[in-house]
Amino acid sequence: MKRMTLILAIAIILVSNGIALIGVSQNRAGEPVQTIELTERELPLQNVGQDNSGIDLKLNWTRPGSLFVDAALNRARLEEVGFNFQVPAGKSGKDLALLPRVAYVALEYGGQAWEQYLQWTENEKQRSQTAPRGSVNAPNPERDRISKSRLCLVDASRSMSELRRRYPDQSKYLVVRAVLMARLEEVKDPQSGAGISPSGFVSEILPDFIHVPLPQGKLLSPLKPQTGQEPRYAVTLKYGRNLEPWVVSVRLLSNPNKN
Amino acid sequence: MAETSAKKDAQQRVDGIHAFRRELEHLAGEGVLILSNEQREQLDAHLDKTLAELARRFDVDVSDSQKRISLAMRIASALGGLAICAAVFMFFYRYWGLLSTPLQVGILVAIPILGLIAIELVSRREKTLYYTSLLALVVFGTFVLNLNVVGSIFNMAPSQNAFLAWGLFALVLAYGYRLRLELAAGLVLLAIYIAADILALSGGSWDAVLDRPETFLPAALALLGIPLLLRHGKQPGFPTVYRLFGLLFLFLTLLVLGNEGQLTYLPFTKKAVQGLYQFAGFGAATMAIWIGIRNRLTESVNLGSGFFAIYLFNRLFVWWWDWMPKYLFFLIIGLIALLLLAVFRKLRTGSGIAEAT
Repeated sequence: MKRMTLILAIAIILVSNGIALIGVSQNRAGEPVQTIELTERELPLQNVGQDNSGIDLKLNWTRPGSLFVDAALNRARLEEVGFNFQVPAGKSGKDLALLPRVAYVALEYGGQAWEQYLQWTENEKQRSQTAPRGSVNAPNPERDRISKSRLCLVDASRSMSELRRRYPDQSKYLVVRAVLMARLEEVKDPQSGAGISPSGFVSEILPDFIHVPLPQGKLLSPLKPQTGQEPRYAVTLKYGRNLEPWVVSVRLLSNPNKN
Repeated sequence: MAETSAKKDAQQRVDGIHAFRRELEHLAGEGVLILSNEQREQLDAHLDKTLAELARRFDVDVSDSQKRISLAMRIASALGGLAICAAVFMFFYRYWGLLSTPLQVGILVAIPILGLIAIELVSRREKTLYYTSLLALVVFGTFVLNLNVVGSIFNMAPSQNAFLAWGLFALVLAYGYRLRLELAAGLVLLAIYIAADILALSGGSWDAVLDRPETFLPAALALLGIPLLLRHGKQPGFPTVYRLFGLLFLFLTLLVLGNEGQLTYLPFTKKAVQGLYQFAGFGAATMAIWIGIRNRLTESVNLGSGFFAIYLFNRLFVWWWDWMPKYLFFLIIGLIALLLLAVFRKLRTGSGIAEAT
């Protein structure tokens, strides 16, 4: 009995690690699905200290306005990824607790969506100058221009190949898996009287933490996390067929202003 | 934490001997049964010999102070296991950045395997399994660390399958070394895995299990059914753990859905769903008390009574708190508690008479 316990327990350890490592090798086999170079703005260092010698980066993306609304996720896009906004008879829109869904999203890198974001921050800054003190959170476009992530959500789909077909430029569009959340709000439509308004947002990129192994990690280990500063490094990521990324190279930026 | 059927029987016999001695004192005091000095000496010698033999063979507690120390040892074993787990986690995270990826993976796989071999060696040398239990907790923790860190190293998206591996691993340890803490951990992890899998199959993100508490109901019913289907002759404490967690998952699911009816798969209005689950909650709690009394299942009676009271006070709060004067609300709660006391007292008396006859 005891020997069987030992064999079974060791088998579980080996099989589960084996399955995980087979998944890793399948992900990395063949040509990568996409390769992209991002800077510290998009991949800031995570808090490290004496108790953790590992180096992790977090994939950051920028969302203008509300924390819980992504403008790119309109009703059509949300329905495409599987959200059903039909309210059953007897239920109200507020009572429809929609389940979060996993889908593919396209993040545009330093493109039109980023320019729109900068414009939005300029407008908000002006509005905050005329608004009563404290009523509007003043954005900081000057700081955002040098330090904020230039990845902005532009699209979502249930199919990765469909998204890649829509956005073929790998250096400008990053396609990743993400958890999407959606909800219905009851709104007063000035023309029809009443109605419901679906909205959605990306709650999590999968995976959003990216481990930097040795030897690439050695370049980053002397650095401490920073905010509001120009980027100090650039990282090239490859994504495999399971859309799991890995760090291919890290380079320190000698002239950050150019990146 | 660790207990064999024979050890449990031995402990019951020790407790019986102590009760017999106390009753003998009372009978002598009341003049009902007075043994001669010779009889008394013979009896004491026999009982002391029996106690010594039981203590030698099964390492049972032959006195109240020993029982208290045993409890302290179990607590120390659990706390020690948790502390060593934390130490292993911290140690690994402090130095893993200095290691290459193959070395990291090698260490992560090797630590739980070496721990298993240590458990095997230690368990052969002790009857009480306090150190085995402590080591099992550490090994389980290192396996959790293993899969977690391998996932981080290779930037894998989190998956519910890890809960399956952890749950099965905990069950293997629990059954192999008769450890109830590992059994409880295994059952909770497998219940989460089943719930997450159901959620993923229904199109949701697996980690949103709390958004659909109904996903826990299959696991709850399975946990309640397993003690009826599987005999646990060598693990006498295990059916209690199954029932305890089966009832907990069932009652908590019914409690949440009785208040948050929108978190359902059912195609009914929020109010109808809440009404349905409130009714089911009271029904399930009553059934648990009734079945518990009939089959002498203490955990079933206690949990059933506890959740019956929670459901009741939850409803009263929702119905009355806003419009009723607070003193009146608490007065009614107090009166209902008295009524429940009277009902439970009657049930207690009835079951006591039934057991005596």
